[in-house]
Amino acid sequence: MQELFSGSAGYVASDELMMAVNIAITLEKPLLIKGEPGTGKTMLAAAIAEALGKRLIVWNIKSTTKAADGLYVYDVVQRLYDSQFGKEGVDNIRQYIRLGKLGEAFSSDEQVVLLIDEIDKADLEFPNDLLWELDQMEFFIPETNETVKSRHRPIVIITSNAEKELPDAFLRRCIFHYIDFPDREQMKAIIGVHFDHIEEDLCEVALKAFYEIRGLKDIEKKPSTSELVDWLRALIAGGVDQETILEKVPYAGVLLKKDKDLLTLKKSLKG
Amino acid sequence: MFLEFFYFLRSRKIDVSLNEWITLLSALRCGLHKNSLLGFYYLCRMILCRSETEYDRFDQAFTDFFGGVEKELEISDELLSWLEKPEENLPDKDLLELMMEAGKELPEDTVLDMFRDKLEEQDEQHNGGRIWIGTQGKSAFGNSGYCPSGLRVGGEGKHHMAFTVASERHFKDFRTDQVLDVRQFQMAFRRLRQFASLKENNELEFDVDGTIHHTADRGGILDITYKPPRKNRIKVLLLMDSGGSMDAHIYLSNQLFQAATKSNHFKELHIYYFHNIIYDKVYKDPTVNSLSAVDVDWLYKNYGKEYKVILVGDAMMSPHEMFEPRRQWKTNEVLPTGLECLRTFLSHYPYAVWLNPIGLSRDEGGPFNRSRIQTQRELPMYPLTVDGLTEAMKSLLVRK
Repeated sequence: MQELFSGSAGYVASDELMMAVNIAITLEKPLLIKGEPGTGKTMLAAAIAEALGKRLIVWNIKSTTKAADGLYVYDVVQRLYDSQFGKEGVDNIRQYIRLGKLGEAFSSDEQVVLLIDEIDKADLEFPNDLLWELDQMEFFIPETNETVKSRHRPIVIITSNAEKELPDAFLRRCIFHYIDFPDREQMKAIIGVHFDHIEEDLCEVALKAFYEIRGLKDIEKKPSTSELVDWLRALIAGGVDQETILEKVPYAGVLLKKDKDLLTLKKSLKG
Repeated sequence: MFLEFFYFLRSRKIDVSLNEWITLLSALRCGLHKNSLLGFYYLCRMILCRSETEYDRFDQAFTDFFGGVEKELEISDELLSWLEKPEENLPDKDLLELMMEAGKELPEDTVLDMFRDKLEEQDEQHNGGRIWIGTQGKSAFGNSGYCPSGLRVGGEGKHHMAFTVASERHFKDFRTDQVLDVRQFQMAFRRLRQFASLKENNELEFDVDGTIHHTADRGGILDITYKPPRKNRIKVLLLMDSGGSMDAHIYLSNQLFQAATKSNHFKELHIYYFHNIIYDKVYKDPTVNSLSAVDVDWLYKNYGKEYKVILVGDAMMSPHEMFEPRRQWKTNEVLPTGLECLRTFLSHYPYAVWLNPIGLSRDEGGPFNRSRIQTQRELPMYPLTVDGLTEAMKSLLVRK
């Protein structure tokens, strides 16, 4: 049995989430995490790495990222330049092969935590291109006739914001967990991690207002945890009277980023 | 032994494959369910569900299969204290075996009756048994046990039974087969991106990066490469029914309209309106007035066969609109029926789907349903839901 993940000092994980992580580690399968923005998807990998004392490798996916980028890049242009100046070692292709994040994770001497962040940002075919590599945790470099194979299967955490539908074949290979938005109790624990001292009453009132705003029907961009934390900071710094928080919602701009949402809030406060 | 659940899930449209099932079994062998039903529930959900949209369906299936009964009953404190802590942990047994053995479905009444009898008879603590109220056993009563259709009596909140969690149906909002609402509007919008990766023909374009790469690879000898273009070539013609019976669905149609116009994934998007069925004119304005009329022939001339046509409407109209020939009142000329017009239209546009905001009810009676059923025969019709839209998009990619 492997070491088990049980949250870390800076990260509050629900029982289900911890279970999901441990299942993924034991079964050696990638863990696919979805959830609203601000539910700590990206933070999770860092917390796992910290808790288990392993190195974290982050592969940030952008819309232009290709699957091959994660494995290795063969810098042919550099080689061409070098060949024109008759530099030494041009014959050695290996010199021009640079491993990508996935390659780095595979070739590491010890087990690492690999975070593939926001996989849905990339092209529709992207996840399919990684199926074999993630299954076998190895890939082949034809230029050098070498196979990069992982000695210790990395713990793979994949996050997605559900911007694109991921292919079925890919989903089948993952352990899937949806991080639900934290309820009030969990949120208190999360706030506890961010603030050393916070007045109980203020926290209570602010949370009440926060969940009320989230519950408003017409809000388009619901405030998330990070916005709540910022808002609490603003409230403390501004020395706002607790009585007025529910009635007036001061610094509402910290919570709501859209004009329309601010208007909706204003209307609901009047009504 | 456990396959029943597998097929039950599949019958409930949770598309579990053998791979996942084997993963689940090996996870169970590793003891990852922690010998609790709640653990088992989470484990199943994590491995078998692929998206939060499936959670609700899974919850329902799980509750139905393992059918939980939890009712408030008066229970003596003494009994509760026995249940508070299992005295010792029983050796790990195969949870599934136990569950299947114990899980012969007990009707709720029987369970409750049995429970009352037990309450009267029981006078000592039981753990690991299969008859009395106790912990870790297979009896239908008690906690930390394995009887799926049992009653939970006491026990810690942390282990509130899987059914309670499952039956809360916490993820109802994420279902995709419901009719669209504001929340899901965003999802629909994203579905339309399916169009984005489509390659219409085999025309290639010059690949700068590829050429550099290959030329360099060959030590400077020019090697030109081509690649398929990644530009989006999808052209869409959106035709929406307006007025009359559609007024009730204005909101929904509006959502779709917004989704389509906001999505900049199409090379072209043209929107026209019609009333009930397309005769020889469509309209640029949702009020469907003659000022904004456009001849359908004009559409045929200007928008070719490659256009994907999405028709939105309830297809409910009085039968004569569809099946009776019309008459030009000035000249008494006989014009084709609505159905004929629709067929002509479809012959011009091989890629067409119909989205119906009222869904596809099986109701066949009534004069108004007749036109809907006929329309369904003419072209693929889908309900205007996220799922329906996805299906519709898929069918738009192939000629019908």
